Amino acid sequence: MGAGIKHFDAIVIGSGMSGGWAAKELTQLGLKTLVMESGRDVKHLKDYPTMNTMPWQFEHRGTLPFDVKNQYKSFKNHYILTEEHVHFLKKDEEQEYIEDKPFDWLRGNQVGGRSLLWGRQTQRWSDFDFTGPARDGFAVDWPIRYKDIDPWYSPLTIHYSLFTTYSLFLLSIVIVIGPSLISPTFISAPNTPVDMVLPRSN
Amino acid sequence: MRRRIFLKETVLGITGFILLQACGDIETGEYYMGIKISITKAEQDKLKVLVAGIIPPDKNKGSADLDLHHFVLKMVDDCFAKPDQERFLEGLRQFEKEAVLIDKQFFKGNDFDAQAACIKKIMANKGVDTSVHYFIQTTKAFTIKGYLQSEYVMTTLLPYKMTPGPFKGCIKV
Repeated sequence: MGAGIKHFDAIVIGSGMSGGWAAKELTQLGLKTLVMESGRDVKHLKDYPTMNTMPWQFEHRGTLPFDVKNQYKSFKNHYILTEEHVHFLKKDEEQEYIEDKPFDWLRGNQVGGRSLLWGRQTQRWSDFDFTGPARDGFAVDWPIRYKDIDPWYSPLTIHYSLFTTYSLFLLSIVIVIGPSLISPTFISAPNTPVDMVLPRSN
Repeated sequence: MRRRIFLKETVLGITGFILLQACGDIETGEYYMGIKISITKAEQDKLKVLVAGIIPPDKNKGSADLDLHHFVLKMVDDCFAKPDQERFLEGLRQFEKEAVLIDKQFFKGNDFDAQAACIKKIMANKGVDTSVHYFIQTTKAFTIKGYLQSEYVMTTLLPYKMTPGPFKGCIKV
């Protein structure tokens, strides 16, 4: 064992959604962990060039110019390939993608990987979704069921501040009922007819 | 020393002249800078007339007020593959002929209703070159896209509402 050689309990390759979470779990369990990431570092706010760009400020309203698009052929016209997001995507020339079997491999190229590319919004799957392929006889059956993933859903949701089905439910309540709570009719004088439809305290 | 000043001024003058030339049509002051596809000024004007007729102005601004023919040209110029660009240009040239056959006044751009009728006729005619239909559909698509995503529409005409159509819970009984 020569000097300068470092030893790790675990090595995580890639700092995306899976790798990032794996590293977090491993370090929290006290393992000495090495995370390897080939992409650049992303500084919060500073490295979000299109964050405050309005739709009309994009020269082609989001569509990528032909020659730029040609540098991302592995994306196969995926919807993520736009002027808004292109700075977080990996060019074909940076890393060749040899596609043996049909598989869309959309690659992010930064710390955080593709986790920077979806809008913090995800719907929680139910057991109905996990049993889908087996029930309806398509594709490959999921090797896991909802009960396996259930303990992870809530911690992940809270940690990533995700916008989930539950948030959607809460938000819809705020949107539907909120305006009426602060509308002038609601806070108007008690002798208006509005008073009659409200529950009385006496 | 004077010779140096003379040389400097001459070089500056020539450079400026060349730059001005590159900035497009000086006479009309139109923006046609940096366009790579080969399209003449006259053809661009024809495109402008067609674009203006797709969303005519009423009490709101129309596509001509937002200079959307620039956007259509920019999209074709930057975002299209070479064969598609050629098809678009071919369609534009064929369209000129077809439109004048049906309506001599088409490119005067005065009567939007007559223009619309003329375009409908061309679209219904299976006999015309397919590039004409391609040209009209492309122009229409980009005009609508450019219009809906313009600053005018997104901030003045249809400004974003956090809560579209809020529910009013309290009603008079």
